[in-house]
Amino acid sequence: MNQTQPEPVPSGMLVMWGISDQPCCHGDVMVSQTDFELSSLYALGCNLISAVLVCEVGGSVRLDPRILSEFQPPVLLEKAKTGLQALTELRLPADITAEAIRKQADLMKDLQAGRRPDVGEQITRATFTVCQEAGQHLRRAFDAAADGAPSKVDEVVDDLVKAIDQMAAGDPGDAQAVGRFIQRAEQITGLTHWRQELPESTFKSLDRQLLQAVQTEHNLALDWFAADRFRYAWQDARDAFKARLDQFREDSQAFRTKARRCLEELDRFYQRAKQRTAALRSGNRILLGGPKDEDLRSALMENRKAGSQVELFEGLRHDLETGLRERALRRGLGTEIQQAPFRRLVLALPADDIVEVFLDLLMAGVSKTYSLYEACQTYGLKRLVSELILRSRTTSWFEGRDDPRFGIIRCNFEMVRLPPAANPKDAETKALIETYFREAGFHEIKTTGYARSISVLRLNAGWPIGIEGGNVALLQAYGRSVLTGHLPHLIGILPDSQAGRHAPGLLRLLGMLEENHK
Amino acid sequence: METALQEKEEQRGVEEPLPGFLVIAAGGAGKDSASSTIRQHQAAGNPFVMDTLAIDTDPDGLGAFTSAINIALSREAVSALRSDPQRYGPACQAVVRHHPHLLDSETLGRGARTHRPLTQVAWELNKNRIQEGLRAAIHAILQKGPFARIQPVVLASLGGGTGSAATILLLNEFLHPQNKSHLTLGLPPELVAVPVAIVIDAYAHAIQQRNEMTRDWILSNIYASRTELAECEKRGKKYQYVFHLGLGSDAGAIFPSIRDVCEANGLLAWEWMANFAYFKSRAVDSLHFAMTGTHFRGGNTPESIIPKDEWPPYASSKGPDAGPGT
Repeated sequence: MNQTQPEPVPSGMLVMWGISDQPCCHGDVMVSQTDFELSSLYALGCNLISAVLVCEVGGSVRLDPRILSEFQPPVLLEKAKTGLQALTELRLPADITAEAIRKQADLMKDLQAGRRPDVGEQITRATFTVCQEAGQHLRRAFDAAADGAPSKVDEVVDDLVKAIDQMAAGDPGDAQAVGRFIQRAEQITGLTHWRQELPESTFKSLDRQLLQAVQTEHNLALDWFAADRFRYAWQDARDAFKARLDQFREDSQAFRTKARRCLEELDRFYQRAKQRTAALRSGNRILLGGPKDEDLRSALMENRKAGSQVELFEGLRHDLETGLRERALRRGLGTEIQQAPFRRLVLALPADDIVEVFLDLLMAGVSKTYSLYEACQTYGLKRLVSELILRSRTTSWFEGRDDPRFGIIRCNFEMVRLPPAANPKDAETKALIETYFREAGFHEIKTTGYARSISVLRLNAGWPIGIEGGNVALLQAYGRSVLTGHLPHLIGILPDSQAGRHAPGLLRLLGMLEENHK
Repeated sequence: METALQEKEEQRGVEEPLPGFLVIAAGGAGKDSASSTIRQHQAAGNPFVMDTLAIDTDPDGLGAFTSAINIALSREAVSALRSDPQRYGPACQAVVRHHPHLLDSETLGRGARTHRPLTQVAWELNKNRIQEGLRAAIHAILQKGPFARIQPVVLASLGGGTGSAATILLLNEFLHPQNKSHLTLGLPPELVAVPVAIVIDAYAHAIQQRNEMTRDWILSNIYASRTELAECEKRGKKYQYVFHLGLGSDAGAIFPSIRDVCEANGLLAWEWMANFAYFKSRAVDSLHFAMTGTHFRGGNTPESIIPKDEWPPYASSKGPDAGPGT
């Protein structure tokens, strides 16, 4: 360092040595809080989430066999035929006349030649609607069955695919029926030319026989139209449903993966909770004894008024579904997802969300019977208060520079938050805790309805960052990182840092420090 | 009755009315902290209006927040940047020219990996999206109730690549007159309060690293962020408060891992917001009052370590009050 002509001091250097004429906006903040030992809760969660998400929950996993029989082609074909007979254009009047028959014959010729697309469209729609309705019915039933038992989905899908492949498209119908009807219609038209030459009784008898025959032929012709269109409709419906089943199988796989992730997530909570016991001895939380496994189970059963395990699973599953729908709403997922079946809801939400909702359910189920203040009593009230105060102490260091003589007026704030007391015994404990805090000089004590734990927040603000004691160690790491090619700075903030590289002024400062220590 | 009392109390000016809070989670530790804040908020039954906005160069986990701005660098964006760096400002030009290795296409989109200039490049490339995202987040809060103020609260770690850079870069977004007027376009100009930062001095994260180089880089980033915060303060762009959470206290509270620090950081951010009315009304009387009249007038360590004759002449550049030993 040239003592006669000193180099100008870089701005960063000035600030880091605390020589800042700026108002001091930095603060240290620390919070301590009580916490329950919850490894039992997470262990229970691991067991329950498997039951709620993965395993069979009551009821049968099989589809209702009546639904499969409704999907049989002959049944559907009959429905399609009935639908066709209901079409006005294809209906014969109750009082059949030669004129009506002639018109029907003309219509069928036109249909065969493709000259009446409007009526052709109606026939097609009638047959497709039958297949689609049956398919939707089947899908709904399948969704319900698979929702009940995701683990059985593969089995159900295999059964269905096999059953559907075995279904034939049904009787193809009499291809000659339309021709015969047209022929009969022509015979009836021809008979009117012979009316003058035949005895009246003979004519009437012939006319009656022909009209009866033509009605049968008309029905057969309609059946053929229905069967002809139905083959295509059935083919489409079958392919669509099989594709849907394939999709479902994939979704189901994803569902199981998601369920496994939820389980892993919960297991992580469990493992962490087990490790936390040691960590919390040094962290900012104070671990209070939590509920035991058997207490949790009985509290859960009691609070949910469940008579059996199955009832408990079903109740939890119902509430989980409600919670997940609320979460989906909060996440801004579309209304389609919010109203989707449970399985799709689970797929759409991340595993940690599901686990969080599930744990909240469990917590709500057990917290009514487990009191924080009781746990505080067990821990020791004076010990608890003094540990909470100690653990909320500052994490920044100033080596005495945070003093009015150096121009620093630090401002300290403390706030204690307590949960409300649920019963007179808790109220007594709470009053004692408040007294101990007041005796320790903590006067801002707030009771909030939403608190589940006791917390102490302490702020110590109004110092410049330059006086924080960690700067020396940080500066040494800063110096070492030159050798490994690090780029510590943003570009264009410090005037003496070139393109994000180390500021020479700060390195010189480090050099001076090291030189002084030699 | 309760509302009438509350109104009366507000008229008396006893406690500051609660603003709408916009928690900005910057970087990985910021996201973890904000997740902890969200958990606290939900467990308490959402007692005040708080939205979260995540900004990160790593798209993982962005879905957990009210809104998110993914500033992960894409190959296309970097290709465009390389083709004409001048279009993207001086920071981008400098990185393309001096540090092209940071823009390796194989590592893009996976966070800033402690490279703070990389976040700055991502920020410049996504500047419009960031401004629009911030504005949309402010509008979303306004839709949840009438608020005289919206209080941004930045959660980040100063040791990583994204959070530590974003903490500095966000100052510009909120305090540069042009950006500020863009944010509050069509709204009262004073609607958005000066942001508050609650930052982790990531010692725990550094200590957890097995690799010495990574440890140094994290600590070095904390130091660089501190110098830059101080530099910004000098230029008048400063947070209302920067609350630091370190490694531990002298009373046995040591955070064993970055996860525990994030958990604590999120918790204390929530506690600070929940107690905002109490804190703010008292801070105006004491802290803000003190800040108008006080500044540091002492040396820190030099007077005890370095002989005075070797110490640079502060007096010549900063006036009589500025040098050590004054």
